[in-house]
Amino acid sequence: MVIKLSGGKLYDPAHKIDGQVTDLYIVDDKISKTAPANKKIDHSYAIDDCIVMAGAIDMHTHIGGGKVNIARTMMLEDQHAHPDARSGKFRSGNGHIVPSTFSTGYRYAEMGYTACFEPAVLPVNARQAHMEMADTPMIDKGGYVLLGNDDFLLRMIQQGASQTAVNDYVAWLLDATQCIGVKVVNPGGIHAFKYNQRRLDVDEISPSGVTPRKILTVLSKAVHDLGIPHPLHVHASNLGIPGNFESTLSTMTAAEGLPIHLTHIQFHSYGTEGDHKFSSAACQIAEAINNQPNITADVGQIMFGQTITASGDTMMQYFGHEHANPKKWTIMDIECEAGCGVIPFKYRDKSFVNALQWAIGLEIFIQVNDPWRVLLTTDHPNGAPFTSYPHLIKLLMNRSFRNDVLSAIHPEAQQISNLASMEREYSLYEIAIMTRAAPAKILGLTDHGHLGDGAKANITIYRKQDDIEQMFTKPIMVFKNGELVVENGKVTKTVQGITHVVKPEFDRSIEKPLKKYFDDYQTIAFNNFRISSDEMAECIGGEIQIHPCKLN
Amino acid sequence: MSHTTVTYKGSVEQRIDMRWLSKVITLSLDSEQILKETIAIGNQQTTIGELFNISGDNTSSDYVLENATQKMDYIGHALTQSNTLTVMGDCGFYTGAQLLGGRIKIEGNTHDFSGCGMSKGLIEVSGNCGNHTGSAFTGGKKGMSGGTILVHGNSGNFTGELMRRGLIMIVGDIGDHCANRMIAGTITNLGATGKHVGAGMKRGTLLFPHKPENISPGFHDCGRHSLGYLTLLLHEIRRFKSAFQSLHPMRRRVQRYIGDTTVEGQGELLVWIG
Ligand SMILES: [Zn+2]
Repeated sequence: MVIKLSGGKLYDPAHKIDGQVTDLYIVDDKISKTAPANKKIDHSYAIDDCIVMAGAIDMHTHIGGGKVNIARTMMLEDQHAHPDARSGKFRSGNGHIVPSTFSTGYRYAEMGYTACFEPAVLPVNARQAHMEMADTPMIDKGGYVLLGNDDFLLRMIQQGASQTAVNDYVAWLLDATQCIGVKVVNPGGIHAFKYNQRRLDVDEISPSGVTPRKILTVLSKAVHDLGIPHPLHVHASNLGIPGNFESTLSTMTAAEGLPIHLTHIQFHSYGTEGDHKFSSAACQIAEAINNQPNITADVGQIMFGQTITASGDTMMQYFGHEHANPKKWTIMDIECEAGCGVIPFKYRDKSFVNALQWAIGLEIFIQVNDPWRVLLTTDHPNGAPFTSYPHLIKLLMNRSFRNDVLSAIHPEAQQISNLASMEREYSLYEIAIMTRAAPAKILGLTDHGHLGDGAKANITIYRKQDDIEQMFTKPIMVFKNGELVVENGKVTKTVQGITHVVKPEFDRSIEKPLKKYFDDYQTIAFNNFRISSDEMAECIGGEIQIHPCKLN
Repeated sequence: MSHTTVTYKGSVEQRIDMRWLSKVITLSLDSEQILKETIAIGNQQTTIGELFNISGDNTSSDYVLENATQKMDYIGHALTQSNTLTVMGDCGFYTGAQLLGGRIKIEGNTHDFSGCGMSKGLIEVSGNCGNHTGSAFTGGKKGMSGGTILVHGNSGNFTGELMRRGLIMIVGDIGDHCANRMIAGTITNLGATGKHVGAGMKRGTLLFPHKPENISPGFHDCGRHSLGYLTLLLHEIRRFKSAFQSLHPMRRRVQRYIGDTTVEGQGELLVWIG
């Protein structure tokens, strides 16, 4: 099958192509810049004046695993209010803030996304998370395995295990849980919460006998040593607490120069100045990111309206439970590994704190100079549902629109924010970096996120419109692996994505102490814990693609 | 009086989502057009015209639904001020859910969640109601927040669960867990009441002819009272044509229990004396 896309304006930052009109060919499931010899063109689309980008990649979105299901069951009013009827070959679903699996897949595809990554796969929940993601059609998936609060690792560090032993454990766990990266959430903090501790700073010794800094150092080294492309994915300490920017800065240094990805950094950029003892530290955080090239971040922008926060960070979720709206919340302990907290939340533009949070997110976007190192997320559903991305893109690309929204928020928040004076407007090229090229690069997906020869034919085509939000809401065409799946913002064909994983090498002797640990403490037998690649493909339905690790 | 009649042809086994009818009623849609619209029946699609006939003057906002069955959910969902809907037959779940005004009269029984989340208007049921009458949607934190539910038969368990405001009148018996976690509002009946009345009740008034068995331990007997405001309440209750009109309009002597003191404890359970 050969498809020709002629006359489109390409935005392909991986090849430094910024709006040049170039013809593209899709040969089977791959992109080609030149017409293939000896093959006739089956379909030809004239897309003059249209904008062509690679399929977008959301590298931090909660779409699978236990806490998402808790969020779904807790927000039944959301399910009631947003039904998606079954129609033709499309399955029914529901929900807006935490959509069901099918709705999630369709909505993402309709916005031109072709890959999404679940950032908090608890090892013991990995099978369920993969099953849920396999149930999510249209998009490729992947998960980051959650470490840093599990008893096994904390004991290893506390007992002074060698870095190689930790590396083996991390690699074994990635293999067993079929994940592509390693995530740490409030290092040591979730564990400390189980010992009734309510706060844990980066250099404070936790009940496990180690400091969060040590956990970060050891894990970022392990990820680096194993050659895992995606740097350690860090949800830093003290989420949401005024003055937490200092612990965020400490977290950055804990990586000791190794690559580290700080997620939803907006929630970690708060100061304590002003009458409300709550202020923006976006400037300090952005400066730190600008000065430390080993750091990448995604923002976790909030948007006004109803959403739900779902996090493994039981310590900080417990801290926030009083603000639950509607008034219901869950904090639960999950075995020897971590926990989870789910709290509905309504961000209000007339609330000083919420309004400032909104401004802080945008300040970070604008003040981090390098779009390759600041990615576009709302930490779905924590900051806002992922369907608000087009609105967020408009806020970044259109200063007057941004200032209009700013002028309607809480007046004190307007006053203390510098946002009004910030002139930067993102270009389409920079948006293509943040939503395509950079996440693919950070995740090590070499054949995704660009439009070069041999790349997977995941392509999103937008009709140029004055209203950027409209444009990004409804792409006129989306190709997934060379198949046309979305036309004029509506899914027309269902396809099934794959699961991206890494399989770093490790020494099998780590299994001996692990087996004993499982026998002594875990609720699942060691042999039943591991998810094999065959199980992924045949039982779970998430065929895997293994991405290479670079050996150092 | 002119009205529009919607007749169910009685042809499917599966449940039918009746929210389309509310759209027709509130937006005064063209019936020709609406009959062509598709509706999901189980895992199949069909048109509304396959299942229903619409006849009569559809310029009026008075509607009659004929041949209703207990498989029809969301009958009269979110109707507004000026609408009246008369249902001949039984109703399914969520009858009159999120009602915003107007009046739904059911000549039959309703299933669970009747009037859940309603904020205004009247639901009158000639037969019995299922569980969760006047409650919140599952998972919701606020039940009925206004309006009146009048049931001439009995109601099931969890009547008025999480109720926020409004009046529920049950001529017959009420099941268990009545007024569970009630926030405020009034529930009254003329028959018996089941166990665990008022557990977690914050405010509100329960007015019963007999002392229910197994009242939650958070209730305290405050003795006999003659409450003047009951004549005002009775005035309101007796406005509706029902067996409640047999109550003497000046009746005001009650045994008063307050609770549930495990929460706010501002609720009252009143039992008629004499
Ligand atoms: Zn997250």
